[in-house]
Amino acid sequence: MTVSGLPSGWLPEPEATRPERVLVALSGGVDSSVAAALLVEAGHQVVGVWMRLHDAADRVDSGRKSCCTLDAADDARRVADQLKIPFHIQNLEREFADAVLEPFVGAYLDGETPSPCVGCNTAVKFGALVGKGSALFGCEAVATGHYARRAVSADGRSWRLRTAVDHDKDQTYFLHGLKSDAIARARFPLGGMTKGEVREAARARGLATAEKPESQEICFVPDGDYRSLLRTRGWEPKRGEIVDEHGRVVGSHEGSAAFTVGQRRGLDVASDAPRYVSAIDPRTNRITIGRRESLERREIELCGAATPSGELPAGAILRGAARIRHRGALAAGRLVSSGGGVATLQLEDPLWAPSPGQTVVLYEGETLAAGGQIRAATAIHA
Amino acid sequence: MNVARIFADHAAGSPVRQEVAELLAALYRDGIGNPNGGHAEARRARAVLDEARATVAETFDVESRQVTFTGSASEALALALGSELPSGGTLITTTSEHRGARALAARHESAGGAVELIPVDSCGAWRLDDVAPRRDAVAMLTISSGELGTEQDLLALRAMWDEVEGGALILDAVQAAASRRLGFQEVGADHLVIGSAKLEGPAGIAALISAPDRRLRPLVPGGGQERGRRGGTEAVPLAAAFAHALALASRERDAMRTHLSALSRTFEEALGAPETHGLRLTGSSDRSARLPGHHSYAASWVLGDDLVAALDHAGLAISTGSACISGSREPSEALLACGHTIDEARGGIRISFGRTNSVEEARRAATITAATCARIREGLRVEAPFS
Repeated sequence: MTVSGLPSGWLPEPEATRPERVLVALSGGVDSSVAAALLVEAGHQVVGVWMRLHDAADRVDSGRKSCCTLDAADDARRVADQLKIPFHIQNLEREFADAVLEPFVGAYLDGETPSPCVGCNTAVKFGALVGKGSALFGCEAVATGHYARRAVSADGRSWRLRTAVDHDKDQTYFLHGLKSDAIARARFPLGGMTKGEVREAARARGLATAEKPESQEICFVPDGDYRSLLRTRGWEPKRGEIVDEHGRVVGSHEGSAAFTVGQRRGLDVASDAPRYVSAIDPRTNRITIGRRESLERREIELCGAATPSGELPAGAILRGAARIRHRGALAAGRLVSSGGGVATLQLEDPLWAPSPGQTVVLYEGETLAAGGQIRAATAIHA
Repeated sequence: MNVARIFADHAAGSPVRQEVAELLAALYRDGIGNPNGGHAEARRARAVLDEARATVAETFDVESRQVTFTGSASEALALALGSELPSGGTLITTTSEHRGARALAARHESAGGAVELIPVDSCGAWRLDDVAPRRDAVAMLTISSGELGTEQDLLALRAMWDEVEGGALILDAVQAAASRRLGFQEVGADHLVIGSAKLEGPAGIAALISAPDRRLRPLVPGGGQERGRRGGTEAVPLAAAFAHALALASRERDAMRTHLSALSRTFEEALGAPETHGLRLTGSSDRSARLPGHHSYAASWVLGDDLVAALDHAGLAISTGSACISGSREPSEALLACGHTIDEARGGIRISFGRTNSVEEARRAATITAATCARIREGLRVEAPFS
């Protein structure tokens, strides 16, 4: 299914009626470069910053894939030069460690699947950076190159995220933690464009980053191997059992933290059909595997469930389309709140391999109405 | 936004002064090139280079042959150190040295050499009574700290060094040369490092002045340039421009001190007590013990880089004073050595005036600093930390 239209009572974000002072988070990639260019052309006073988030920034990135290396900072600086805007490096290492790095490591050690980009957007880019932009440069808004739009309530008091025009690139999933007041101060100049149009816009302006490839990996795990990061935090591979859905031992693995629910790769078991990780128990270091269809779920329990305007009261029910991974399938359903952020997502069609720790979002039309985290080991079999 | 910007980062390097830039341009236009050759063009270049060397020598009361041009002050330090310090030898330096010197010390240590540190007091001044260097140790010390502006006691250093029968004494006078007269004999160093960029000369040129009995081992062997002390074709126009900037600075030194002292008085009066802005003075509060025109503070409630960025935005160009990786949270070693807290050592800033600043600019720099600190503290909702 797809989402479309604005729910009643919600309007598209209005055009800016006056020049604003906007902080743009330049990653050194093409998207944020174009976002900055568009803001400058619209007459806003733009301040470019590159965020130093972790020590991967000290490594030189020959492949030019990650946004968090010194090469990326140089690219961001070149674009700022081209656009004739001030450029500063902002150190947010401490905020990043607290909101992203430590929870990431903790999640894997607890057998969960972390969503580091969600924490980074919520606490770092649209959290700490907003505060610093305001205090240091008097900026009233923070812009990024995310593919997302905004919607405002008819009374103008509440804000929601709205999916990007380019559905393939839509990043509202990663932005779901933004509260109404953060969305009010966020600017997403690329929300109405396709990736192809953005690339063209960069070429047309001769931006230094126009031909830069996409970065897909987790920025603080440049080689894509998060296990080496876990090892720096004291995790050591330890042999454990792999069991099937009946509890029979069918193989062994080198440490449960190296697996995530729905993973197929790295499972050293012989079987007639593909097998996937269906559950992880970090206490016993045991992994349960099953057939693909055994990972489908119609009911998922959430914690931290909230709307952009705050927590859901007990008994509140929201209907919409749910998604449990970026660009993942959408399933119609309803979110039933028990209060205190605890809620149950009841789906008409099952979603595959929900993993504890993962982010869940619920769209009402094109607007992101609520989000939360899948609770540990509470998924109920279909 | 249209108010003129103020450049107050002269300790990092002043813009090249007009007369010097004109000389540089004229030399390039005249086709001054390689001074090594058997033709008239080379001899012309050689004459320019010789004159530049003579000017530098004259300024420090030495012979021309004691002057070696290098590409930077860091290179001059490395050349002197590499010539004097045996791999297993002992290097004496301070706990508050600048990054370049610390890197040389770290390299020596990792190669198996010993490093002894002269501690500093809370103002960054050497505590020479608290150190007992080994005989024949080699010392590498900065006469005036670029970060804290502290002017060190050279007479006391010389007395201590004679007493312990120390080995070679290598002094970095890059900051000091702009503000005080340094006769090579009176200073009593074996090697003196002089830079160009802090004297309103071009970057990319510096000089090492060495005692006549010291032999230099080239870092880069080459075709016998610089009397075999440094390979590579000499940058003749840069050397001439450097010498010209040095000569002008020497001639105007007293007037410059008077001018900078007036700027400092104006700035401090306009700023008022630093504590009211959440700043703590770093280095000495005694102006006579600091480089003229040099002011440094620490804020425990903001990263130095962030304060620099905010002031840049407000039209005031300053720096943290400690050349670190851009955007890193590394605290300043010099501030830690002076006993500042780690938060303060992350929040150091330096405001350094130069010849081209006006009294009005000094006043406005103080106003901008005060207003920016107030705005950031309001934005970050920081309680006045020292009140």
